[in-house]
Amino acid sequence: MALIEAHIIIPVRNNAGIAFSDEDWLELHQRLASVAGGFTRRGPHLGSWTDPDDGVEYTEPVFDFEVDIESWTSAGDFVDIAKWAASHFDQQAIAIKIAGVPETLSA
Amino acid sequence: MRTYLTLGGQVLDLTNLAVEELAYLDECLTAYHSGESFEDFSRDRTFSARNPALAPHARVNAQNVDHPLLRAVFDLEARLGIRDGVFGLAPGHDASTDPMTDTALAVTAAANEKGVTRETVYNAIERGELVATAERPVKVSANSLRGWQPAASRQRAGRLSAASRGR
Repeated sequence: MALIEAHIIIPVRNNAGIAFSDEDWLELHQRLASVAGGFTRRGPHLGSWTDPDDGVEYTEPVFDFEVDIESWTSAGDFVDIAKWAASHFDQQAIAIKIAGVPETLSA
Repeated sequence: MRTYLTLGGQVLDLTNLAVEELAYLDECLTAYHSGESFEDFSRDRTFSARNPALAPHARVNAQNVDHPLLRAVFDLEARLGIRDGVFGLAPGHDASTDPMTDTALAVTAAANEKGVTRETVYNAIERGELVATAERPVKVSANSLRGWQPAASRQRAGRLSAASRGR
C-alpha cells in the first residue's frame, strides 16, 4: 500500500520555556496513531519562525513528526490533529507538510 | 517488582516487559546516568529503530503507543531536557526522585497506610489503580500507593462489607 508522508513540527517546550507534560505528548501520540499507519519523530532540530507582528525571527528546538497516512481520506483528520496541536501546545501557528506540500496553520 | 515513576507521578508497571525490552531500558538508563545529552538521547534512543517497543517497523502505532518501555524512555528524555536546561519542569512534576526506585509493601501495610481495608486495596489492584505483584504474597508498589486516593464511597463499602463478614 502506498503511504502518504506527512509532517508536523512541534516545539520541544512551551512558550514559557517549560516542558510539555508526558500527558500532552501521549495525547498527541495517541491522536497521530489513530489516523496513521504509524509515525516516528526526528530531531530535535533548530526551527525558525518569523513573528508577523514585528518581523522578528525566532529560533527554537523542534521535533519533526513523520506520519504515514494510509489514504487521502485520512489527510483531513491529520489536518484536524495539527489544528488541535496548535491550540493544545499553545502555538500561534503550526507547520505541516503533506506529500511534500508545506502549509502553516493558524491555531 | 519493577516499576518506573514518571515526572508526573504515574507509575509504569514494567513487570511484563520482555528480556530485550528490559535490556533496552537498561541501556537507556545507563546513558541517562552517564550524562548523555538530551539532544543525543532524543535523536538516538527515544524513537530509535533499535527500540524494541517500536518493532517491527520502528514506528509508533495504535498497538504500541502506550507501551511502558516507550513511555519510560520518553520520560528519561524529558529528565535529560530538564537537566540540560532545554526546558523547565512542568508544574506539579518532580525530577528529584530516582524513577526506578520503588518499595514493595505488603497489602496489610498498604491498607494501614491509607486507612482502608485490605479488600479495598485488592479491589484497587484489580481495577489497575495500584501496581502490584501478580504472585503471592501480593506486594504493592509504594510509589503507586503514594499517588492513590481511595474513593470515600468505596472505603465505606469496603468497611461495611468487612463488618458484615465479621458478624
